[in-house]
Amino acid sequence: MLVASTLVAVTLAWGALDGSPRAAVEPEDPSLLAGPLIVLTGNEKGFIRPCGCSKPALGGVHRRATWLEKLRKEEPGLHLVSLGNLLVKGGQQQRMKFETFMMSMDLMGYQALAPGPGEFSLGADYLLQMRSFASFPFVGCNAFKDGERVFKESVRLGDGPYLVTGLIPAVSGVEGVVIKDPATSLTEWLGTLDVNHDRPVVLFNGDRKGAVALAAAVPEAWRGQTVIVFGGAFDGPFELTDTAVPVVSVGSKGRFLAYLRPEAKTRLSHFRLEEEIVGHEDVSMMLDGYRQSLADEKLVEKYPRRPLENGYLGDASCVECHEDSCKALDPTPHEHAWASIKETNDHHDPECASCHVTGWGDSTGFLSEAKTPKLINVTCEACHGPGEEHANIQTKTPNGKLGKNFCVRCHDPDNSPHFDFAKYWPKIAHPPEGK
Amino acid sequence: MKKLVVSLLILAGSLSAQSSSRGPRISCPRETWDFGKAAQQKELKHVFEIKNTGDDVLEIRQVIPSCNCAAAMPEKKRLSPSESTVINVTLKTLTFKGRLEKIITVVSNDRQRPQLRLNVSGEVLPPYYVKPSSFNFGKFSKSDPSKEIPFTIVTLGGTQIEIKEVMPSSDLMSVRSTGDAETRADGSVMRSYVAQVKAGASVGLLRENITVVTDFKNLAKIVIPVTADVAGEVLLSLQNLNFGACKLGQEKSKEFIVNKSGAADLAIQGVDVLPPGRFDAAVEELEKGRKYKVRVTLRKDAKPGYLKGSVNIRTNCPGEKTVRAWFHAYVSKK
Repeated sequence: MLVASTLVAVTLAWGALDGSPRAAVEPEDPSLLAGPLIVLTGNEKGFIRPCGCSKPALGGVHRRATWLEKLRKEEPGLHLVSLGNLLVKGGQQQRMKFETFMMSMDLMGYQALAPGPGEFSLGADYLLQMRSFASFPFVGCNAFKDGERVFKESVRLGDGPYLVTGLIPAVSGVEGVVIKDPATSLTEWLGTLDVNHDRPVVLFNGDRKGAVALAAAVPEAWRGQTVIVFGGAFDGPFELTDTAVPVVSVGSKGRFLAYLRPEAKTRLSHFRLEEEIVGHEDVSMMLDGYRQSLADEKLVEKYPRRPLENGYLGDASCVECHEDSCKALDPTPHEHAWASIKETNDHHDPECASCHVTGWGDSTGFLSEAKTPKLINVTCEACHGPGEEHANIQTKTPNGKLGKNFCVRCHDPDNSPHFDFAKYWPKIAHPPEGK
Repeated sequence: MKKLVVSLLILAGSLSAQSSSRGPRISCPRETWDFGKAAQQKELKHVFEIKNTGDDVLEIRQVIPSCNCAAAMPEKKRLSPSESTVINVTLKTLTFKGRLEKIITVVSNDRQRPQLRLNVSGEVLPPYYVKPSSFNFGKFSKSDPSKEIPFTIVTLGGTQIEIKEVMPSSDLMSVRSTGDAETRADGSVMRSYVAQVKAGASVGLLRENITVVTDFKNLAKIVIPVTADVAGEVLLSLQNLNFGACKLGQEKSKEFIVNKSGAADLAIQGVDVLPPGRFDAAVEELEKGRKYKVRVTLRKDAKPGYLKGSVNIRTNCPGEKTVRAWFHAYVSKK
């Protein structure tokens, strides 16, 4: 029943996402439920939890865990794998995030993770150490060190015919690890399998173009039973239709679960992780732990900053000459930006703080609430640049009068999906001329 | 009985009629289209051809694009068998960066395929960008400089953007230009640089930035995050210990090895687990002054919850007085 309700939910969710009609799949069609269910995730791009800046805030590992726990009761034999790219860049915060991902995925019962370029950006040495961190294996058939595969070549899902491997696109700067050509590696791997029995599922953590090329490289004999999985830039999962073998995407940013039923008439469906899903208690606790770690490590304060001589003064200095402008800005959300993330305990997270303060990333800009209290919130200099020279010798502010696209540095499609300059600008419009 | 026979006959008749009639069939010779690389603030256009390959009239009921993508209803909404029409699609690149993928759903009366999904995609390039957008120097010894990593700053053709400075966030790093600007066939201009971490960085994860500052108002600077693992002479076999999910009252241990390279011997002066009170740590010497085993044990009386902390090993090594390993554990309520 849950599966049927899932499919209804899938249908409704898709409708809500892109406006397509609600009869996307017919839940009463038994062919939809044929064969094993492989739940595919990955391509989170750092979104371990929803950003929360705007509604609806979809996704998050805590909601994923809740849903999978329910789904397992209905379909205990489901398989669960990730195609990697949980992150897009390296650094201490990303490592902390990756470890939290691993902990939560352990709890959810993942069977394999195919590390991608995102994981390699954490550092090859670190990533290879992390192989023993989680109880599920890292899979991949084209990454080698000293002639040996660095990950498990493949994982069989249960006792069935489905075998999962990972393929990494060419990655630069991977210390000591050789990434072989994905198409050649795929052909070689398929050559070791039994064409009459095995059903390969290839987790390719490259882009769409690479996935299509990989599909074309699948030997004729394997075209009826191979599925290529990739990430894709579109939020929701989708299937490419004009490829040599099925190519399905898991979507991006962890907002959906992709349901792959290779034997069913409708091969790919999905579930959208809505705001209404209550986060799994244990995983929510892990996320709280992650946030606490950001605070303990003082990552906001330790953020590397560009050396700068021109100082940030705070808007109390601006008001001396630009009273009208400052008055106009006072009641706007920009002036409460810091309080809004402090309320949710996100002010220790550099990924959040960067857009809620003034002078982020500059040595004379925001350092911490205690050290630079004048620079909390998005004040005049957040957009116009540091004002010290402007105030002292009447030069133009570094950023001068801004173009309308300046705002999208923070009001980007992830954090401000409804941003429309024509609608938003009047809310903060302020007269340009000083006294 | 008679009724049953009649019903079966009617059912058989209807099934036979269904199998002989294929009905309307929607098809598109190419359902995906990649616009390739495109600049911001452009409108990209593509025409999809839709054909009725069935033997009954095809009715196109709705054409639904995903956001920032417009698709017009075809002029001809009813197609006779073998008849074609087109759907015009416009994709706005706005200020997106990177891959863009959109789906246009065409709803019709084709019962086999009531929704046809057309895909459009492209790669949106900002007026200037840095490639790679972040980099990792890998692992190297604190007494050596890192390898040099090349990177490029590309400004799109037709833009007049001046690169004012390319600046590392600390003196620990150097950045230098490696030649003149190169104009490529597509009109874009590529400038090449190399970055390096100097010898003498602190042991552990190095985290710096390189900031590219330009005169382009809408995107005055781009920050490139840079990381590296700076190794000392004290090396841990594991830097992250995962105790996983533990039952309440369960005692669980994890071990790792501490190795010493270089001439001087290592003396471990103590091990502190932070936060205190939930774990115990013990050290065993395996090879005098060179190799030690550290065992960390989750206590039976550890309270439920997610635990994260560090194992701090105090040593006699200059510059590596404290070497850290991280641990994670989840203690369930039962």
